[in-house]
Amino acid sequence: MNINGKSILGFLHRNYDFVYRLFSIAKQTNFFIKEETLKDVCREFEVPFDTLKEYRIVREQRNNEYNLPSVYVQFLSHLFNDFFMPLHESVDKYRVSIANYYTQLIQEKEHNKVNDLINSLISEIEEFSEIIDNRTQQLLKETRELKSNLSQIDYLEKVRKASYWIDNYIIPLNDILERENPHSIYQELTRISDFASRQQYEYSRFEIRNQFTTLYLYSKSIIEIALKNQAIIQKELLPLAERIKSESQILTGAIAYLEDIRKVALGLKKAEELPQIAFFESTRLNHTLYSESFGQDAKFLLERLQEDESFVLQPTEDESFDTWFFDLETKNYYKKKLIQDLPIDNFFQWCYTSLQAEFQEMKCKNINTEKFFAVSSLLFLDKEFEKDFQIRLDTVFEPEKVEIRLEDLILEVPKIHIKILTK
Amino acid sequence: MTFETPKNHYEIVNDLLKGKFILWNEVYFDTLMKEQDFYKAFFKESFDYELVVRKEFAYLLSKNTSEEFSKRFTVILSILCYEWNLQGRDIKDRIENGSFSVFEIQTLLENSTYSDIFKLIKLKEEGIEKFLKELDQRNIIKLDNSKETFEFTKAVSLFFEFAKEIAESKLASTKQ
Repeated sequence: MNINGKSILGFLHRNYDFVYRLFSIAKQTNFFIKEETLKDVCREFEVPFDTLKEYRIVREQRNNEYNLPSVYVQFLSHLFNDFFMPLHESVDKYRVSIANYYTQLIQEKEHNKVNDLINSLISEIEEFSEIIDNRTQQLLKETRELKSNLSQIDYLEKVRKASYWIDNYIIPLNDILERENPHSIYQELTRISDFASRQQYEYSRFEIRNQFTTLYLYSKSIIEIALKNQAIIQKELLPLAERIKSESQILTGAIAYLEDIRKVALGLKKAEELPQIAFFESTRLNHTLYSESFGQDAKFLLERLQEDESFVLQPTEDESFDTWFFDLETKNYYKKKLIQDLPIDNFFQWCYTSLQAEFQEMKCKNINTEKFFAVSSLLFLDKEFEKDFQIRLDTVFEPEKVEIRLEDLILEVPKIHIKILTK
Repeated sequence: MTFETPKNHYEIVNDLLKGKFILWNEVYFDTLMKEQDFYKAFFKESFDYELVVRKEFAYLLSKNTSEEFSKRFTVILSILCYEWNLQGRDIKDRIENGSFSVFEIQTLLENSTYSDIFKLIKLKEEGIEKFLKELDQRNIIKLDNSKETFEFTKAVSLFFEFAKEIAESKLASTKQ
């Protein structure tokens, strides 16, 4: 078989779909592939297995495994715009080597070595710029795929993937490009470009001055590429990955909670084991409130009852006698007022406001429990309303609670809605 | 000894004890923020409750949580998250910035894949409106005047945190 560049390219061209499948399968296992799998793919696409070996597209390893040589990995990654992402250290090593070359360059006096160091620096910077460009695009592509979830992975797996990418790829990549980070490639390239900028005029030899000009222009353009990639990471990639992570976490939690509720209903989980949001218990503290004079009054009455002689309760000298009684006249006044004010949205509040209006006129403001309960008793006079006004009232209790602050008691009562049912 | 209290003391204490979230845009939120040391000590010493003051809201935490309320709220929001995600919406963004029709919510809950779980929280007799009213009273949502649409307040972030905690524990348990 005549093996040359043209025949290899011809093979790749004729079997493009096969090569794409081979690359995709191999990429999942770090470009190592089992012989059996490899033969299956060959059979599927009717590609002779031996040709692959002859063209050295695959290389035999131990344990019936084959691998794709790195030259093919790079070429095919570029061809399919699909890049393998080794861990961040593989990117960081460029930063380290660029820094090392630069340190050597500023100390070097020998012209030939200076020339070689400049060439090495340019080649290293070139590889670095390509790798960050590819990596940013690859991360963006994979993050978008994760967002649209074409491979139908569950939300927990999405959380896991997004967190892993953020922590191991996106943030380290951002750090290496970060302008403010003293150890970033940005800082390194700035130092190189400043040095090259001076040396392109100052260096003693003309041809090396030209080399420095190339290094200066090259490092400048790579700084721009680094900044462009960092902008993509900060404005698009990181927020997108963070959003996928956050959304998937919420969905994982929501679905897990709903499934837990189902388990409790089926008796597969105890209700006490169900996690809960710690909302505050809305029920009131169990207040038991007494009238201010309750204790004294009780004591007084008890003492009198223990005496043999009969006694009469008299108002004390400074006690103004409250002459308000819920007699027939008062009762009729409130009944009429209630009919006039219908529909009433909040009955107990109406009782309080009505009493307040009456007592404001009398320049006396002590609305106590006794008065309030007297007026509230109107609620239970359905038949009287029917007889007196020939109407029927409709009373609706709502679960909402209303607070009424009386002179001697704070009441929490239900909201009651009253309207005319029939006339 | 005179007992001096910050301005709006009655409203602050009363609202918090009712289980209400005091939001950043309420009149007495500033007082609460400024006097948070006093109020934290006040609730701790008086009732053994923990007061949580955040940038955007404040609320009381108690050891005895209203199980039913918490369950209903979490179930409803969980189902809505699930359904909105199926519709391809960004759920967090939608909840934080959207306005919702009570009718739409009701329909979504009743027709959800999780409608059986919605039925389990027994809102049938009183209906979703009553529950939303309670959420409104607690400042977790804001119903508009017509009571037909509502928006979530910042207090909803407690739900997101809760869901994320569950997710984290799931993640941790699958790692083991």
